[in-house]
Amino acid sequence: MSKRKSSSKPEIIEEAEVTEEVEEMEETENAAEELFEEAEEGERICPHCGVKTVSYGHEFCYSCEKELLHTKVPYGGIIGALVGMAVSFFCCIVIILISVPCLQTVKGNVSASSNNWLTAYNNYAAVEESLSSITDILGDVKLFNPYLKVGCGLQGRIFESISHMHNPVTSYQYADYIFVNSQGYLKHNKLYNECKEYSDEVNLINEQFGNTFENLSDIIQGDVAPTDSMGQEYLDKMESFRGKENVNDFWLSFLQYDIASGFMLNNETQLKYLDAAHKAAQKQKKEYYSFYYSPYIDLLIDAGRLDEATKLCDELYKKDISNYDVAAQRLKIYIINGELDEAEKYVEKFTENNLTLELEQSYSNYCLNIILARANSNYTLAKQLCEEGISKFGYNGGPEIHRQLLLIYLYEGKYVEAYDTAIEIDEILNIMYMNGNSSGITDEVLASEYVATEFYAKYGNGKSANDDALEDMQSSFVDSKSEKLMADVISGKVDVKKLLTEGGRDLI
Amino acid sequence: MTILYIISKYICFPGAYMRAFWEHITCKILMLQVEPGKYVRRDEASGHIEHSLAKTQWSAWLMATGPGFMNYNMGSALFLFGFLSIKYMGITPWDKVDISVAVGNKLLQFLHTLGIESMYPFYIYLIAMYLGVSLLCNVFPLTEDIINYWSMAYGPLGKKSVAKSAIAKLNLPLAGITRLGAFLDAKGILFILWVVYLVLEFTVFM
Repeated sequence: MSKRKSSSKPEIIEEAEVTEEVEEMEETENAAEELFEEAEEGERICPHCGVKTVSYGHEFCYSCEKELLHTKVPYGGIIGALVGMAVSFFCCIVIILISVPCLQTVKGNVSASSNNWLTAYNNYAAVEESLSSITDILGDVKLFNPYLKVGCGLQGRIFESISHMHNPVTSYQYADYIFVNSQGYLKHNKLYNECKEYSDEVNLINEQFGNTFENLSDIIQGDVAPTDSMGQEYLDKMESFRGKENVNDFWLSFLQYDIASGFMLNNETQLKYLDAAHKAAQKQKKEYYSFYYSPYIDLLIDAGRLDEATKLCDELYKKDISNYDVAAQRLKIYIINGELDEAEKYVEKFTENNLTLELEQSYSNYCLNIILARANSNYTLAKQLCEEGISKFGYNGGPEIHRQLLLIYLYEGKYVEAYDTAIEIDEILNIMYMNGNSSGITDEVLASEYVATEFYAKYGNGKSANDDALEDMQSSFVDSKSEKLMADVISGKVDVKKLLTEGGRDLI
Repeated sequence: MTILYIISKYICFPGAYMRAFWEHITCKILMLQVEPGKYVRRDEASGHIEHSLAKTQWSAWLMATGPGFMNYNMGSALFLFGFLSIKYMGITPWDKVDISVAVGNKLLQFLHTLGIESMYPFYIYLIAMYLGVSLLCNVFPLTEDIINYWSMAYGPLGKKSVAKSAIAKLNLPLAGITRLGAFLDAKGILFILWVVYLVLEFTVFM
């Protein structure tokens, strides 16, 4: 034996044998030396039986060698090996089946680590889709079904990515949706604890907002039908509640902005209240950006406070690098500042971060690249990207690519094409609205549709079979905050070409 | 260090047992003498078997890596099955699966009579991960086995053919890893490294 044990055992045995022989040979040292010499020459004692001698070139005596060659393999080992191999084979199949979904999760984790929350969300959400398609392929093979499921841990990650993209109220609604669909047994795990933090936050929001609103309800919900002149009056009355008990500064300012916006008071007034809301949120150390950042940045840009808008954009972009709204607003600032090289780098970076096959990001990438191309007066490229985007996404993704194409037609004086595009935009908005999504109906979209329809009526082929649609589009723009500017565009006081080649290169 | 080694072998006894089993089978294939004894025991060769050393370079290599290869294959399948599901599919102890999605109607009726209506796959993954890690903790040979191969492949003993030398040279990285792994295993460090890795994976990198 050559193992650790065998390295000491033979020596002891040999020594014992030698001692015996030495005694037998009248304890003479010379005889013992002779015996050792013999052993070294090959005649050792078998280390296994300790009786017989080992012949030269062998480790054991003949009979032990034969016995040790036939040691029994235990049945436990055989059964273990067979079961182990069968189970490993099953595991291998499951690993192959879940490899793609797992890869989606890894991609989601990578995106989440770089605050690319939309990509992260898309990747996490794709896991369940992949699994259901695998289950469909497997059909009646039920054996693998229990192992092709998404767990609460992944739902937690989906929730995390959503909570980074939306305000606490929307996040909580999603969390609530998870719980409703999870039969309540989730209520003891980590996800529940995470969601509970949001539910506490939402409860606080509800309480603060509810108390503030209740205090102001007499002013806001009066019996008298509001008229335009009443806007400022409301705001002044509301201001008198500031600092009173149960009136939260942030929500008071936010409601004042809401009133100012509803009454279409001037931008300065609206900005004043969002400024106050922003300061109140910072003072309360609450991240309520998601409630107001988009109009706030727009108003800051309109007021020429570009540094503040830039700072806010950069801050929000760090939190979520997949946020298209923020990216589009930052791009607008670059364009207004004339920093087209910087704008190009910015779009490149955004495109790179969102370079994925997922619909929403690709759509955003197209939009930003089209805006940039228009800003660089490269209308051929802009048009090419629009056509490419439209053929790729159709009516999916939103109305922005169509709107960009409409602006190009307006710039080129192709009013018939612009009107046709406006009709398509209207269809997209209808589809979105029927799916419960009204986010596409923005002032920018309405203004573009309005100008296109008016120009079509004025310079195009006159009213056509689409009279109703035309009137609908025109009427939907009435009372928009940009109505006056657009009226100037229609009347020719403001040149549309000039509007589309200066400042933010947009109608509003 | 021996105590740590013995403790690690007892904790990872399924892997240690299987490792010794595969060694036994390899010895049978290579016609090497094996001393009978328990596969998992309280000495520094626990999880291995007492056997005579291989006489040729090829058989020494097979003795050093063959049993580990079997453990590695089975272990990595079991480990990944559990690890991927828990880590990337987000399976938690609270996730349950209706048993009807997994079995046929007859078995379902039988399970229902036993009162079994749902299963918690997390615990299956946990067991699979434990078995996988225990097998992977036992992929490396005894130091004597890899040293035996090392002395034959890279030592000065005897004349070697050009082909054998070339194969040995190509094999150097794998042999080096095996030798390092055998050293770490003999000191019980391999087990500690696995524990540290798993703790980090499910805490810091989660």
